[in-house]
Formats: sequence, C-alpha cells, structure tokens
Amino acid sequence: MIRLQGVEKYYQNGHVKTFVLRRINLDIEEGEFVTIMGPSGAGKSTLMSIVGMLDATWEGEYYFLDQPVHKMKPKERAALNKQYIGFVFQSYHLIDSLTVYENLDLPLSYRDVKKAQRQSLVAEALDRFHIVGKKDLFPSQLSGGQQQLVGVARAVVGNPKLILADEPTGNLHTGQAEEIMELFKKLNEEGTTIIQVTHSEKNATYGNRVVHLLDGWVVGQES
Amino acid sequence: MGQFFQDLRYGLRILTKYPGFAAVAVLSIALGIGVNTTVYSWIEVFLLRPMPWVADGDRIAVLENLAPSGELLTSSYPDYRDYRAQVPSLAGLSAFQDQPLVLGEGREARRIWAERVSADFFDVLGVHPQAGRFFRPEEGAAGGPPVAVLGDGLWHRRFGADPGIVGRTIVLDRHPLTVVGIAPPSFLGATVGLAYDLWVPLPLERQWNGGRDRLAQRSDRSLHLLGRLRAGTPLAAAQAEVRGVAQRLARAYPDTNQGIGATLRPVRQASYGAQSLLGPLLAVLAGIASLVLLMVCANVANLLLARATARRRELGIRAALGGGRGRLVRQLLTESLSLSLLGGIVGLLAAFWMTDALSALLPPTHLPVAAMPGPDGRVLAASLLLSLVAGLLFGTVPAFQAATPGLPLALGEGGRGASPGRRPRALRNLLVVAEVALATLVLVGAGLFLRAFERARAIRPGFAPEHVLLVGVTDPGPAGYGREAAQGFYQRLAEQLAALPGVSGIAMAEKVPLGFEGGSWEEAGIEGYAPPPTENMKIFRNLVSPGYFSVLRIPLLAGRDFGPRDDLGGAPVIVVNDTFARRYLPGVSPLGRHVRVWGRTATIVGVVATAKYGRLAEAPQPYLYAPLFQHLDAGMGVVFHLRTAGDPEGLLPGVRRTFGSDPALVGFTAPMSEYVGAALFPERTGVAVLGCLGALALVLAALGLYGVVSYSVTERTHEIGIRMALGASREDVVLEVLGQGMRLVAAGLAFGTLASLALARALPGISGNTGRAGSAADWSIFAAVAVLLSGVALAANYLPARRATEVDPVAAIQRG
Repeated sequence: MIRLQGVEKYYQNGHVKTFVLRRINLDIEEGEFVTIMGPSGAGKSTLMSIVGMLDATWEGEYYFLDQPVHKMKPKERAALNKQYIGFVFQSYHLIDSLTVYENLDLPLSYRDVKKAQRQSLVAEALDRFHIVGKKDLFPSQLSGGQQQLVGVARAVVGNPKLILADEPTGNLHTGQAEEIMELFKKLNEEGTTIIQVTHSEKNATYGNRVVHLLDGWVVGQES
Repeated sequence: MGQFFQDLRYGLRILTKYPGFAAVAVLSIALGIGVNTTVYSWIEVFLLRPMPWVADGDRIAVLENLAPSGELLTSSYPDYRDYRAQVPSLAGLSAFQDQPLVLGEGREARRIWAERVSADFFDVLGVHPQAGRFFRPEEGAAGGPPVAVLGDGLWHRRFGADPGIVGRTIVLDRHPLTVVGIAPPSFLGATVGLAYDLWVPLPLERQWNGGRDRLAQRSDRSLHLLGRLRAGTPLAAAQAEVRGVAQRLARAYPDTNQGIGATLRPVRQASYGAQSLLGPLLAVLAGIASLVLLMVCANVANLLLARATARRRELGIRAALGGGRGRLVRQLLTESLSLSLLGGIVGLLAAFWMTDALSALLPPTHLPVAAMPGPDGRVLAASLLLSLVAGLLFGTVPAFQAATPGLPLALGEGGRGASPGRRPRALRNLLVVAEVALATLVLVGAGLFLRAFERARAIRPGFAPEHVLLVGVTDPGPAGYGREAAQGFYQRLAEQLAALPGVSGIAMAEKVPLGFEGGSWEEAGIEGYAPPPTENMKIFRNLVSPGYFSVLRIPLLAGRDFGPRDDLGGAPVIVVNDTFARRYLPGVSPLGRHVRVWGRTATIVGVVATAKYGRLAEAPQPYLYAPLFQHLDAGMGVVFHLRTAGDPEGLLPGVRRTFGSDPALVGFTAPMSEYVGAALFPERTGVAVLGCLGALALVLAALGLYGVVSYSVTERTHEIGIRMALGASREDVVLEVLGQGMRLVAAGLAFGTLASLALARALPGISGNTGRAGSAADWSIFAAVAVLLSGVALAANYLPARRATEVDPVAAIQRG
C-alpha cells in the first residue's frame, strides 16, 4: 500500500541543510497496524505528514497504492488524501466552532459527498461510536475521551483505507486510552490500515509491527 | 450552493464567536460604505441624474449665453425664439424662469414658488401629467388664457389631492387662473435642487403687468433655456449650430448681443442649480471618501490577517481533513463577504440618515430647496456592489495568505512552535503604512479645506451684515395695482417696520448680495468710455432705497445717496462703486457723468466703496445701484433690511405683527449674516464633511496601528520574556515596541505627505486655495497633520507597549 524509497526531508538555513528524515525506506502492506516510535525530534510526525500528503517538500520516492505520489501535483495529492486517508491527532483537533455533527460532516463535505449521503454517513458514525446524544454539542462541552472519540469517528466517517494517528491517546487517561486503542484494533480487524505514532509500549502492542526512528533514520523494525 | 450556505453559516458563527472583532470590522465597513453611499447619492442626485423625472434625460441640454469673459448668462425671450427656430438639431427648446407668487387671498393666502415656462416646457422635458393636461401652444402666446399646472406637493398640501381641482379656478397674485393639469409626483421643476409648486405660461406676466412686455426686450436676459436633442444627434453638432445662431444674433442685434456667444451643455454643467455649487466639491468628496474606504479595507484586511493567524490551527485541521486551498479560500472569502455585506447594510441604513446632512448645512434662503431624496435603488445596488468589492479587496489577500500551502498544522502537538512566519507580519505592516499614508492624505485634504474656509471667512464683504434682519416681501400685485401704488405700499410698510422697537435703520433692495440667487445685470453705455468691440458692457446692479448704504455701512466715497425724490417722477440717477469709476472713468470725477442703462440715460450722483456681490473670493468688479422706486415693477419682490443694535431675530415678533393680516406677503426672514453664508456654502459643506472624514481616518489609522502592534506584542511574548530575562528594563521594552509602531507611522507619513502635495495642487478650483502647496500656510497644515497623527499613533502604540512590560519572563519562556 505504501512504499517509501530514499525519502529525505531537510530545512535549508543559508548553506546549511538540517535533515529531519534521512534515506527512509519503508513498505507497509494493506491491513497492517504499524507503530512508529522514537524520541522527540526523531522525525515521527514529519514522516506521518509526508505519508498523509500534508507535506510536499521532501525528496525521494513515495508510492501510495502503486501511484507515484512524488510525481503528483498538489491537487492530485490532495485528492488522494481526501479519498483514502483519515487523521487522528493527539490534541483531537476538533474545530471549536462546529458541533460534533458538523465536525463529522466536514471531511465528507470536502470530499464533495452529496448532502443526503453525508447525512446518512454521519448518522451511521454517530451511531457506531455511540455519540448520537452528543451530536449538537460543541467540543468544549465534551471530555477529552469523548473529544478523541469524535476525532476517531471523524477520521473513519469517510471510510478511509488508511488512518494516521499521531499520539492518539497522549492526552487521555488510561481507561479512555484503552477504549480508543480497542477501537483502532477493531477498525484494523475490519480492514483499515493504521499507522500510529506513540511513545507508549502498551499502545504499540495493539499493532503488528513497530518501526523505530532516531535522528531521522529508521534504526530498526520489529514485528 | 449547499456548500456556500454551509460556509456562510460557519462564517456567521465565527463572527458571533468573536463579537469584538466582528463589531469593529462591521462598524468600520459600515462607516466606509455609509460615507461612500452618501457621497455617491449626492453625486447621483446632482450630477448623474439631475432630472430623474425627465424622459431620455441624456438628450436634455442647457443652452446658455456666454459673455466674453467666459461667464455664463441667461437669455432673453427674443433670443429664445431665434434659437428655437434656428437650431435644427434640437427637437424642442423651452424657456423658464422662477418667481414667487401668492396663492389665494386674505388669511388663506400663501406664498409659493412657481416657474413661468414656455408652452412646450413639459413636452421638451418629456413629462406627462398625472391628471388633466399641460399647456397648449395658444396658452403660451401673448394674450392666451390664464392657466396653471399644479405640482403634486401643492395639490396634496393645499387641495387635499382632489382630482376635481382640474378645470377649477384658483387665485394667484390676486388674478384668477384655471388649473388645467397636475404634474406627476416626481416632477419638481427644471432647476436642480429646487422644488416648485406651480407652473404658469411665460406671457402671463405681461397681462398682470398692465401690458408692459419685458419679454419683448432682447436686453432683458432673465430666462433659462432647456433643449432636447433630436434622437441620434450628437451634442457637438447642436453646439456648432447654437454657436452659429449666436454669431448671427450678434451681427443682427449688436446693441444687445455683440460679444455674446452661446453654449449647449449637459444639465450637470449648467451655471445655475445646486449642481453648479456642489459639483466640484462632490468630485473632491468622492475622492476622499474612496480613500477612507481604502483605509477601511486595509484595516479590515489587517484584522482578518490577525484572525487568520489565530485560526492557523483550525485551518490546518481543515486542510488535513481534505479542505483544499480553493475550498479554504472560499470559506474565508465567504466570511469576508458576509462581513462586508453586514457592514454594507448597516452603512446603507446610516446613509439614509447622512444623505440629509446636506440640508442641515444649508444657510437660510427663501428659495424652495428640495428635500434631499434618500439613496434610490441604483445607489443601493451600487453600494451593495461596493460592499462586495470591498469584501473581496480586504478578504482576498488574507484568505490566500491563510490558505497558503505548507501552513497546515504539524502533526504531533498541534503545530507546536508553528510560527505564522514573516510574510503575514510584513503584509500587516505594509497595510498599516498604507493606512497612515491614506489618513495623511485625508487629513491634509481636510486641513486645506479648513484653511481655505478660514481664508474666505476672513474676507470682509464690504458691508456689515451683522445686526441686520432681512425681510423678503413679495410683490403685493393686486389687479390694476400701479407702480405708484406699489411704491406707496412699500413706503408705508417701511414706516411701520422702522417704528418697531429696536430698529435703528431701514432700507429696501431688490437683491441681497452673496445669496444663492446670484445677481442681475444691465447693459450699460458709459459716457466717455469706448468699449472695444468684443467687450460686453454687462454691469451687475441692484435696486436700492435711500438709506441702503448707511444701513449696510457701505462707505459713500463721493456725491450723495439716493433721496426721496429719486422716484418715478425724478430724473434717472445711479450710484456706482469705486471699481466702476476706476475701470470706466479713470482720472476723472464720475459724478455728473451719464450712463445709458435700462434704455434711459442716468446720471451718476454718488460713488460708494466696492463690496463683494456674488462670491467672497471674487475680484473687485464694477457695480451700479439705481433707485428702487425708479424701477419698481410688477412681480418684483423687495427685501427690507432692518438694522438693530441687538440680535436681529429679536425683531421677528414685531415683523410678524406688522404683516399680521397678510402673512403670505413675507417670503422669508433671516439674519443677514446667516443669509450671506450661502457664499460659503460649498466651503462650509466641504469643511464639515471632510472634517468628519478626517476624524474617521484618524480613528481608523489608530485602530489599525493598535491592532498590529498589539498583535505583534502577543506574538513576541516569548521574545520579550527572553529580553527581560536577559536584563531589558521596562523602558527598554516600551521603547522597543513604540519604535516598531512609530517606524510604520514615519513611513506612512512620508508617503502620505508626498501624495498630499499632489492633492494640494488639485484643490484650488474648489476652495479658493492658491494651490501653491509649499507655502508657509500649507506646510503648517502638513506639520499639524504629522503631529496629530504621530500623537494619536503614539497613544495607540503605548497601550500594547505597556502590556508588553507586564510580560512575566518566567511564564513566557516556559510557554515558549
């Protein structure tokens, strides 16, 4: 599903290049649940941004479902992102001014899904994640766990093939974290490919492969 | 469409979430749109559609005579007939003049303003009656039946909108007339800015005037002419024909027409009417109002840039969820446009109120000034369009800036350490520089107007209008009333008014100088002066009673004032001003010299000091006075000048008692010092409006500056914390923040001053300014604006600078 070959990312300061990622070679098959681990500054989030096609300024080759992302124009990458990828963030990143319903509706509206179909998909997601009663509330009216639940619901509402989760339980207490990780596991079992970034060894156990990053290099992988 | 409404809904929700931001933005836009709508509304009323009631208004043109000096003149009836017959490009040419009349009799009598018009007047204008008919050709001929057309206002006011009035007889100046029709509600008459109540055929005056026919005299130039171009005929072609006719008339009638040319021009360029007073001023106001709107756009753009920076997280999430750049730009633009529309609507509501402000600036006048119409559909549409354009103007750059690729949140900790970068900051700084430059322009413009106004106000008019009450009295004109009887009437009235307590002097005159009405003039032949062939001996004049010069404190330099014997039975005499004497009779005593005027030879019996007659800024011009009672005529109103030691309005109760039985005789009463304010009306209006715009510009610049510096302090909290931790004192921090803001102010002032120098050269036509930008007086305006703006800017900068000193270094560093 994902093939990175010699991917590098750096910032240019005058004549000095500061590398964030170095010669990344990584293959991820469809249906995998991959965990990326490493200390702060290792390049985990940058790698996720590149895989999620939010970052376009890198070098190397990136194939997504056999399509050469590195040759694509920004619009084509955005289209691929919209069609196949959902995001879950550590800080939930719900839009404060939108209700739970509208937050779930937003990615669908960006995918130009017809209104009737959007209503049906959002209703289904609300039901699936047991948050129907919260649909008219604003994020500030929810607990952290509930917000992340909405964040996951928003990531999957468009039925993505790939979910990128960056420290999805970083702001949650243990009980809520377990609930979210169980949810990811279930989604993975249903066929969704998941890549998560985490510092938590426990969370890593939910996946089937761990990739270790250090100073921008892949320093190891374990299944 | 669904997505548009979704964007709109979210946009409005964002606005309600940040009410302070929304209020400042909406209010700024409302002021900008309100001011522009008001000025555009005035332009529409006075310049673009001065006669909205006229069919095919672009084919209507004003025919005016042209003096060799370039001054535009009214026409005589014989000239009118010649132009009407000899200009084939004109489908019709009508003549008109205004006149106050008394409608009804006794206690029911009311003074109204009428237009005496040629029979084809309404046909030429393409106006249709709402009831009855307009004039027939025979009614416009000498000896035609006495008929009248009512205006809609008078019809409602006086006759309760009774359609049965058509065919009935009314009494006008004590003469019976038959009402033949009622003009449509929108029709107010042929002079822009005035509203007439009634129309009568031109020749009626002859019948009311005991058979004396002033219309027959080619020298009696008292008619305005309005023509309709034939369809498809260019104005230039008709102009050439009109010039040709003027040349033929000058050859055929050299006594009256030598040197007199003619011109045909659009109504907005006519030498009479409100547009002639306000046209040049409106052009300047439109320019300044546009600058203010640009300031508003810069201000709101700045606010939006700041908000977009604060919304980076939200925009990043949207981008991560698949919101492409176009979609985000559309979302942000929808928000900007909803802001601009909200502001536009509030501005339009304000414009309805502001449009009438012009009326409030009017000095007292006896003329029938039309009520200012509120903005019409075209103005409303244009303003809403302007709002949308403004929305695009201030929304586009921030929207594209905010939706720039690469902005989206960093995955991980919510865009930790994500900085908005230098570009938005530079853009905001640039906008503030532009705002300060524009504010400089607006303030210098207002300052130059104020200077010109003060300069004009400082000019002494050459007479003393203070402590003088004017009482305009219309012609008593009963049927068969002779000129002697009229003289007796006015003299008796003068005795009664002179006996009022507090009146220390009284005089009568036909005209009041420096009013809205302009002056009258006569062709004069001066003994001992041989004018060059092209010189038009048109001399402005007034008809005055004995005592006029002393009541108005006009110094008598030689000879004598008029006396009681200078009446119909006396020998024709005149008094001239010293400019007349120097111009036409240099080196000799003018006393005893003869002047051929009004078709008679009059003797100069006195010389008085030159005063200002038409405009305060006018150059000294020859002027002559003739005894009122040697020229008293039917239809001629007289203005009493009552001097008192105290407040002239204190005389009003006594004046009302004097006219108790016949109040309609009083056309107007006003303190003369206010009445002559008409001479400064454009300047006064300019100062008032530009003063408001200047204040608005100052507030906008201060807001913009405050916003930018305040936001910058928030952005730099971490940096300021580090500076303070490294030993920076509070004074150092204040100076650092103030320095940042004041550098922007200095740049804006520099650009604004350069642009203002160009503006100063554009102003002289309006304000009487010398146009020599660079004179000491002008530099003092530039300096005052620089000091004022710097002072306000310093205050706007100081508040965020103070806030910067309250940064807790430890907390700021930890947050960073």
